[in-house]
Amino acid sequence: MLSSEASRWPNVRQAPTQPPVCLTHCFAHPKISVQVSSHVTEDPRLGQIEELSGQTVADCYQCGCCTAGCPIGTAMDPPPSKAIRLLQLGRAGELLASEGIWLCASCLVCGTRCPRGVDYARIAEACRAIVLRGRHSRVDPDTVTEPDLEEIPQQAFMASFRKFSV
Amino acid sequence: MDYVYYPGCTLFTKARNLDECARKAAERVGFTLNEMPSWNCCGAIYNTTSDDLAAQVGPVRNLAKASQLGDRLVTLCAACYNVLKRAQDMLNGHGDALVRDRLLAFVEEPLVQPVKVLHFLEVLKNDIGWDNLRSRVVRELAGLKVACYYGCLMVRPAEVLSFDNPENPQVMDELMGVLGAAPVRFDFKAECCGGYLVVNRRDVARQCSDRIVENARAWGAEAIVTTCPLCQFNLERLPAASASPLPVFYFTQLLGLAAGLSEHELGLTSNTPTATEFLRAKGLT
Repeated sequence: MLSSEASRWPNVRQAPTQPPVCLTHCFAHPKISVQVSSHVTEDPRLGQIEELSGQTVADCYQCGCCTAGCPIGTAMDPPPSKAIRLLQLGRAGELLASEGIWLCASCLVCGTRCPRGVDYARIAEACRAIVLRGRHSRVDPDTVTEPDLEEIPQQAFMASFRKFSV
Repeated sequence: MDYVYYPGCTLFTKARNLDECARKAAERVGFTLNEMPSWNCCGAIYNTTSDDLAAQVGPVRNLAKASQLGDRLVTLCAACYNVLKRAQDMLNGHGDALVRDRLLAFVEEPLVQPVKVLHFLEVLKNDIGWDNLRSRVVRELAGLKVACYYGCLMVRPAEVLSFDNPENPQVMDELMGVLGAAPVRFDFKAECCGGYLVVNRRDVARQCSDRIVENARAWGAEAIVTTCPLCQFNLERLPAASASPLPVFYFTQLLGLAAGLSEHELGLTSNTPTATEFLRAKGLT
């Protein structure tokens, strides 16, 4: 298969030196085995996330439209598509412990543009709910400063505490 | 024409200028906003967690109360519009029936009819009509280059709100055209301003708002027009101090200005001083 850099980018005029590779051979190769399944682990939190969000993570085919459109995508770690990939790989714990889920402002661009109908904003919200229900507030209303209280519109506090506080 | 009106909490405090100016502007163009009695906060953001009923009580109670008064409810704040309309959609049968029944059993008043949640802009376009509105313009906003910013809450989720094209909404641009202003094309009219992230991540909200303002400026806008108190705040106050700020108006302020309200009635004192100076320099106040 891809034995050298030369064959990685073959000259189109060059006659093929090998027959086309069947993908099933590729997956069966002992060194590059890939398990194509959304059920690689039995992490119960994936089921919980899917139930709370009403989304099916296996629906995502990783096109990346969500991350491309996300206005916070450059600051969000992991960004939407990568977050969904973590869930597909059974790594829900990593997503629940991540910063990314706390940077989603629920603007819904990701879900609006998703060709597979997956709404990442709901997945992020389900993840936050799981963390918050463990009594871990992200924003403590008692720590809001006086100047911020004076200045920022009420709806921001209401929304922030709804999304980020126990 | 009379409408039942839901102001929402921010319009009674920091965005009083949106509420007051809108009521006066509505009178000038031929309709009356009657505030619904004993309304409560809508919750400011729609909760999507499937089992969280408590967060739905606020909007459902408002809708049940409004249903006693009529089949339509007018909102101004983009967040209230979004939350109430999505809650009504859930009650209309697009949600879990068990959740719906439990919520309706919990609020003290029955929902006697489905309530059509309208935005003030929809009243202007569909009920007043652009031609009628044009005849009410006493002060043309000639040559005012404005970027109409809709943000997220007016257009998404598109299938529930069905307000306008979610990628390229037009209704505010049409309104500005009717008032004699020149709406500019720009890229981020439905991009998020960072919203409530301003509370704990002002840096991220600033990054979002900066990008929107700079893009509007690059397309030639002299001012930004919006519907939401939080968008107004983020776009006006957050961008880096180094750049000269663009004034950010509520659409109702420009409507009121064109319909002949006085400078005092526009409530410009709640905007930055730039807004007042800008309108003076344009000879509009």
